[in-house]
Amino acid sequence: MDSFQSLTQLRNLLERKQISATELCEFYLDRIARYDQRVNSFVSVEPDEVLAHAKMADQDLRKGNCKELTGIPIAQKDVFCVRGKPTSCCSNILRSFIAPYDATIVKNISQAGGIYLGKTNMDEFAMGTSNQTSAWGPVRNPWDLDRVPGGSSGGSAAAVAAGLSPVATGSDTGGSIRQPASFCGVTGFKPTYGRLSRYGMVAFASSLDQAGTLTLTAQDAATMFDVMQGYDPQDATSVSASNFERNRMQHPLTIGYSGSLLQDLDSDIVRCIEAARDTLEQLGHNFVDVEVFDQDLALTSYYIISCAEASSNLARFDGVRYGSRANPVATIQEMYEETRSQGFGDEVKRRLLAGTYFLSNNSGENYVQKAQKLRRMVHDLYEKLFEQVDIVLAPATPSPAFRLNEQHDSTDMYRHDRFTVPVNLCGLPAISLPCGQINGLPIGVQLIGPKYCDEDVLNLAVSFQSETSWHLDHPEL
Amino acid sequence: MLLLLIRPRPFAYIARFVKVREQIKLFLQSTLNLKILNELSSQCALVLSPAEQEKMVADLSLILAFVDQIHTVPTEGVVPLIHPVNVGNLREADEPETTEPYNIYESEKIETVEGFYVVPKVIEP
Repeated sequence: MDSFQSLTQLRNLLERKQISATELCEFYLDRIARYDQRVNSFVSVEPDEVLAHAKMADQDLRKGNCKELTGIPIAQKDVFCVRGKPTSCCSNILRSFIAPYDATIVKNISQAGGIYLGKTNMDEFAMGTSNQTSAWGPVRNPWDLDRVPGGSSGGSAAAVAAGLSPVATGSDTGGSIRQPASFCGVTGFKPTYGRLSRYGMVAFASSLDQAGTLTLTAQDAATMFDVMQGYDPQDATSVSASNFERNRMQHPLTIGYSGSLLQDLDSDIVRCIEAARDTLEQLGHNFVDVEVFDQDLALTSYYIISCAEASSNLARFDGVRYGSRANPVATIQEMYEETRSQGFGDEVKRRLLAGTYFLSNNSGENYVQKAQKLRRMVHDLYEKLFEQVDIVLAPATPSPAFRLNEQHDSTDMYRHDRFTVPVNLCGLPAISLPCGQINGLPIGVQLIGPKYCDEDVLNLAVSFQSETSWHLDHPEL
Repeated sequence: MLLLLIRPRPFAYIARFVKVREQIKLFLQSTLNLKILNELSSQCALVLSPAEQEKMVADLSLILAFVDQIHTVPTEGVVPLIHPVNVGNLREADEPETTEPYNIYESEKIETVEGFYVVPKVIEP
């Protein structure tokens, strides 16, 4: 069997009984056993349980009870609670935590017949852009094992890119789906904030976090979005379909494009982005030049807000409410301190301290309020932009995947997110699509849409991939 | 002989020197010092070793230098955006309303001292 079959192709094979769910799951389990020691994309896989569920799926398939995902194995990022399974966010502090319930998106996938394949590696608490902060060790990019897969959903992106899972879930707080998708040559979709429930997704920065998918094709992202989306009364930030109107965009679309975004980029990346623009023009769409917000300023707003929210959200990991308790301890304060100091890694500590600084009176200036004002300015600029254009085309990352352990200071790393964070500040839908290769390494382009126009973004992405073949290139392991 | 063993990479050394010098400069200029770091660590319930402290002061100073550019943007009159979608309470809207004076609910005379109700003692000294 071809290792890189899309969800649509796998569904056809299962429905035509050319393969059974058991054979399909065995195929992916075998690939994980053979290749994942090198890639390190999974942190837990339980083959017996996967095969037991596959057997049940085969019974359903025989009876003709086919749902959207019946028999399809799907990897879950370790940030999502799966009932009875370890959910660690790849942090030592949650090393022994077993989730007591399913996240809503996990439940939705399961109800659609999807089979839980295992948990994928990630940056600790989704804080990182290279998947090097995981307590389970770094993930390696399947295109070049000496390079990073991006982060924080690096395990999910690498697993799909390596053909170890046909689909994987991810979460995107500042680009954590789209950046690894770009580095690994897969399709990464971050929906509008609120369209996918956050219930059961461990919070990093609540006003920015959004679940999404890493897939081989945009069509697969659309199928997964249909299954996963919907109003959830258990999530106060979930948006009901009745709360928004969807005006389908009419062909040809007007696409915004900002030359200023490409100014500091390597000429090879500019060539790939311009080729993507040419493809969309050939499809009949019109381009207009637009001005976008200063990327560095948007980035500062993002880092202040995300660190401030993280310092509050992660207060619950204290050894009492959540987290493996440090022993022995003399006082409760020592217990808190030992638990957190032993449990959190350096990047998490750095962001907690920075977030506390931004929130504290000691900082002199009110960083958080200033950042929220900047967030309003970015938001309003995009609102205005979408009065003129339907979609915005932008790079996904400023470079292809960099080398593991390459020296970057914190702010260098943060700058890798400069094309992705404005989308999270505004809660917009965006997708990263493979659009070229540079020295054998994939690179992605982003399509960004107005709020709640997820379907239009996906439609354009599908038509883009009907004219390109970058998403059909795969690494050899 | 020694010169042959060391590959001449003058630009790399200069770049490294400039970077270290910038970091020292930031460290000295920074408003974040060891005293503030200790306060932050205490608020975060974290204990840092001396080596971690030294690295964290340098890292946080770089981060602060990076985010401080935010103060160059005029934002007078801009309403902060706290959330990308309108978030409301699920059961009912959290709106301020006028409450009736509490003493109208007092159906019988209750002894008060300085505005507090007097209740029977439950713990004997």
